[in-house]
Amino acid sequence: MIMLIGIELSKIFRKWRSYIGFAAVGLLVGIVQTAIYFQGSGYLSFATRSFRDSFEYTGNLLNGYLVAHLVLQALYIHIPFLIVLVGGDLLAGEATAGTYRMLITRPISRFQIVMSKFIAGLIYTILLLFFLMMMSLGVSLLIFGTGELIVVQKSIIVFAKNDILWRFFFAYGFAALSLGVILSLSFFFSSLVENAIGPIFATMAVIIIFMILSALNIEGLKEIRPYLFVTHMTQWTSIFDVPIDYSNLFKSMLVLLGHIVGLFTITFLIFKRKDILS
Amino acid sequence: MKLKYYFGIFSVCFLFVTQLFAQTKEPKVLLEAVNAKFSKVKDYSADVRIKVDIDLFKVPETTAKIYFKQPDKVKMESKGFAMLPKQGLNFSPNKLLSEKYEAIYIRTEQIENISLDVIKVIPLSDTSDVLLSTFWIDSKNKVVRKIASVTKKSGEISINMKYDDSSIKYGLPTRVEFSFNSEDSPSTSQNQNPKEDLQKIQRGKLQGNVIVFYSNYKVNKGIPDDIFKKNQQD
Amino acid sequence: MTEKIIEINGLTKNFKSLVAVDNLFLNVYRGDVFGFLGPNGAGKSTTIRMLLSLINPTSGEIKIFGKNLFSNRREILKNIGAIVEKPDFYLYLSAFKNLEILGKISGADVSSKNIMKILELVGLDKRASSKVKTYSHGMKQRLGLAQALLHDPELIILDEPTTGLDPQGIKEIRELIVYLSKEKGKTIFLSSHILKEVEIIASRMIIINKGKSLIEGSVQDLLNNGKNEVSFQLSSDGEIRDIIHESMWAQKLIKSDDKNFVFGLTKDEIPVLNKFFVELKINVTSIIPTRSLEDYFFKITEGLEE
Repeated sequence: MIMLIGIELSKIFRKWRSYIGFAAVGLLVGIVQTAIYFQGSGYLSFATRSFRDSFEYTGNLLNGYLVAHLVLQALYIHIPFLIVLVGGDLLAGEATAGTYRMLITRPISRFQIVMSKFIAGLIYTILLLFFLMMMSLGVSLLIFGTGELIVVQKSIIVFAKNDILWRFFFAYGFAALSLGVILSLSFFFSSLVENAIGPIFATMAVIIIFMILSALNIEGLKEIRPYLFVTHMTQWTSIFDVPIDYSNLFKSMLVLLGHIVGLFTITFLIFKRKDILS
Repeated sequence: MKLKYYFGIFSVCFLFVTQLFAQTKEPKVLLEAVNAKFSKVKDYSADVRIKVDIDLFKVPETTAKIYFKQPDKVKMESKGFAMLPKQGLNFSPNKLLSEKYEAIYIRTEQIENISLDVIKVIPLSDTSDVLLSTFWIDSKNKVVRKIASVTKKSGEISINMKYDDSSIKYGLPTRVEFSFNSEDSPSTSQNQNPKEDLQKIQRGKLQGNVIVFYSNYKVNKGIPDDIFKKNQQD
Repeated sequence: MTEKIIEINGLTKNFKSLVAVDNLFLNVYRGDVFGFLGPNGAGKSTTIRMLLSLINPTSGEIKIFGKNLFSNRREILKNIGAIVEKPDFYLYLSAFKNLEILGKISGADVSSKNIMKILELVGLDKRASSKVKTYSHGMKQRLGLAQALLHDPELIILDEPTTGLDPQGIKEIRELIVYLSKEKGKTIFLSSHILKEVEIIASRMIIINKGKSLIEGSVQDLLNNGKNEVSFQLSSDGEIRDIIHESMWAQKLIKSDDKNFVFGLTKDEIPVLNKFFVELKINVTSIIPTRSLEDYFFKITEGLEE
């Protein structure tokens, strides 16, 4: 199995499309860092305007944590689109290329094929996230230094220095789970068709539609929000809240995990029964 | 502006009437006495511990070192982030008294066995953020024990000051509690939209307390001007 | 009787209302080069895909190496090398890397020595490090053979292996198949829609159409045993018809008109009959062999015969 995962990873990383994600993340984070480096006080004055008039304050609020948090906020919705490029290709790409035949006539079970591809996809996802973390948190801390993190969400919160890093790791972990759902969804679509373009657009469409549904402030639509995985994906923000609503957070994590397991199971069942006609 | 205008007219009338009948002490004298006492403090430094408890605004408990030098140089130093209400750095009523104002004596109150003179002060400048302040002055020690202000931007702010035996000599408090109470602050509004609440906070409509503990006062030890030059805020 | 390598019993595959393979039976024995013949759309590919577990049968049984394919899939596939339709590879990888990946999964010896040996066998050793997307169709076809041979399987299944090749390429592939059969003792299952191809290299064959088996047996038997119709055009002053009727050849005469006499003959009998006529001073104007199998197959491929 490890050999198969290794093979799948080598296939992923020998395709140039797999680097789009890394390039996009590197570019976007670089742009954000550059912008903040030169214009960061602008954002900060937005964040601090509530207390600037009545308070004296000191300390380095424009720091690596702030940048990493801004990047996470900005990219959280968009990284899924990068994952889809690889996830949608995992199975359908083999169908398009006709290499399904080569693969399935080998002495390995279809479960092994699906599983190794899925795990390779998850590893890709985690690597992309890790790259995001290194770029946005690691590099930003080097450029901007450390300090307290000011977060403007439902309330304005300043986190103490020693209270930040674990939240980021938690958030990246949560992001991994969210992106796992995206991967599973694109993987699922990928098992249905014989062309990678379909699953890529289908997954993107689902994400966009769910996002719109979960953002619309219409009474009837509020009812369905808890059933949209996108709603649960955005729960990561509660990690940067005080106190953390753990019960909600864990519920969302469970829902996301359920999606991953469910989608994978369906994908496997479809793939197991699939007649390879490509 | 109109409101302030009417308020000003009303206040002047009010002052006039009260001055006719109730004037037993001269408020400006009391304030000047406080100011005179504080002006003996040429400079000081102190360690502060700050606890912020404001709705929709969470800050960890922080510590900092503050410096003050007459007439209005202030400086806060901290290893990390620290925020302190501006009035927590300079206790002198100097700034208030340097502009035109009207003051009226209201009454004497007993609070915690201390006799306090209650004075209302109305700044007459259009640029002043403060519309009306009420001072509770401990005339015996020539210190302010409490100030309640109505401001344009931040609603009502009240400041409670506590002194210990050694700090009261200089008019420097050891504990100051700031209470912010904004008329349409999030907790009083019935608004169901959290975003609007946040926007109010961001406009400086705060609701809650900040408590500052002062210790390790060093008074009139001489502080070089350099300290005030560099500003950490950027 | 020699060991059955492939045994198909009552195999059926329906795609919704379309019956692609219809109650098919066939046996392939050890050492066979088995020709799996049929026109396009006869169900050859579907059958091969079922042999390789790419497609699940609707009903019927497949046994390979004496074991049920569906309960012993992995074990069986270890010993099969196959090309299914056109050989497709990971185009963004080199030939070498493709073989390495596929070989690893099959549990083959993927040392570069072994991979290069196989590439040399199919004549691709000089292009080993080129990405497959730079390969011509013929090269891919040969690489397809290479991947089928890499893990040294007992059974090699080749689906139309010469499609799209130039005559030289076709010749090379045929030689390779003969080599694998004769020198390496492999059992080869070869599908084709060209009778001649099967005739040249196969030892046994089956013809299927519309998913049904039409005829199965030794290629030699099917081609020779009374199945060849030979038309003799004859002229003579004498009564040819009488001469023939009085001879032993009468029973082999199928039909005749004034000049043309059609006999059912084996290959060996054609010169004997020719000699017979010559000795009787009957002029043989032409001998036209019209093999019935070819006719038959031609009619199938043209869709003339149900």
